[in-house]
Amino acid sequence: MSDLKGKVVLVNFWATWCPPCRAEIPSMERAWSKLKEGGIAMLAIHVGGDTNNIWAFLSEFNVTFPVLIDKSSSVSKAWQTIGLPTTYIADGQGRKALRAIGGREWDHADLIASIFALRS
Amino acid sequence: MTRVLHITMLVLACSMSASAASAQTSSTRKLDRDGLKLELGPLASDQVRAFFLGRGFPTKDVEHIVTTGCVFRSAIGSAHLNPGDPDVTVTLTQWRITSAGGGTMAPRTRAEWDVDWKARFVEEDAATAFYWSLFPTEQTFAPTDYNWGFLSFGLAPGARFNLDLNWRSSGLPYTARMEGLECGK
Repeated sequence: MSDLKGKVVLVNFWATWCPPCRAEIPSMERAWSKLKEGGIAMLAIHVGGDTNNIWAFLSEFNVTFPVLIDKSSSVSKAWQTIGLPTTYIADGQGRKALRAIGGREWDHADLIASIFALRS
Repeated sequence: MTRVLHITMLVLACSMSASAASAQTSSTRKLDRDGLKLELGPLASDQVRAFFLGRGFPTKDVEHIVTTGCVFRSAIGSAHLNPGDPDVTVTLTQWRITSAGGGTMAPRTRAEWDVDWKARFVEEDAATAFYWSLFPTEQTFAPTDYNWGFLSFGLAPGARFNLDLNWRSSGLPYTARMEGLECGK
């Protein structure tokens, strides 16, 4: 995260075996194409180390945004995440400006606009 | 950030076999009032086996879940849709299960199951998957938020029970009773 200092960052906690996580991934990929052009960073953090299934899943859905693995859940818990999926939008100061518990349609225009609004 | 709960339940249903999903329809319970939206239904023993074997649990530990867990799928969240509407808080330790024999207890929590997994030397990946697949012990939902997860009522397959559940919204407590629930077989 320190490499992303000053940027608005979308951080999504998910798992391959979590149905609403799986449901929102395609919209997240569509959103990523818009967000990266707008200077927004994105990190999807898989909770648990189910490595083989993770890469197969990402390949199946043609995911291109960065994915990290939180094998021990320590990062997820440090972010005070208690359910999956949970997504935070951190502003340029590293503060959690938005939080969504449960899946969303991330490429919805209203959501994209609310994320872009954090750049100012 | 609008999203309706029934989409989640549709996804959950689609993740199971067609026959299992149709078999669950009659036993699915729903609640939508005073800020809370909830849907739950029992998992059959074979569904529990399939899910947790797929998460890396050894067979003997999967059977421990099957025989003692009484696992229900659930989606629980805020029925509120507008920013500024009150939050809704659910605390599972305040729920009460009354079994046919008259005993009363709370749902089994992540922390309680974690004690089992440590005692049974279950691998970290499997225990981690179990932790995150179980509904959080306490969670507060802003408008449009929802969560999915398994509930564990700590009874044997086929056991019948009543569930007294409660939640808080706008600082006020609310209660509801679901009668005649049955653990999957």
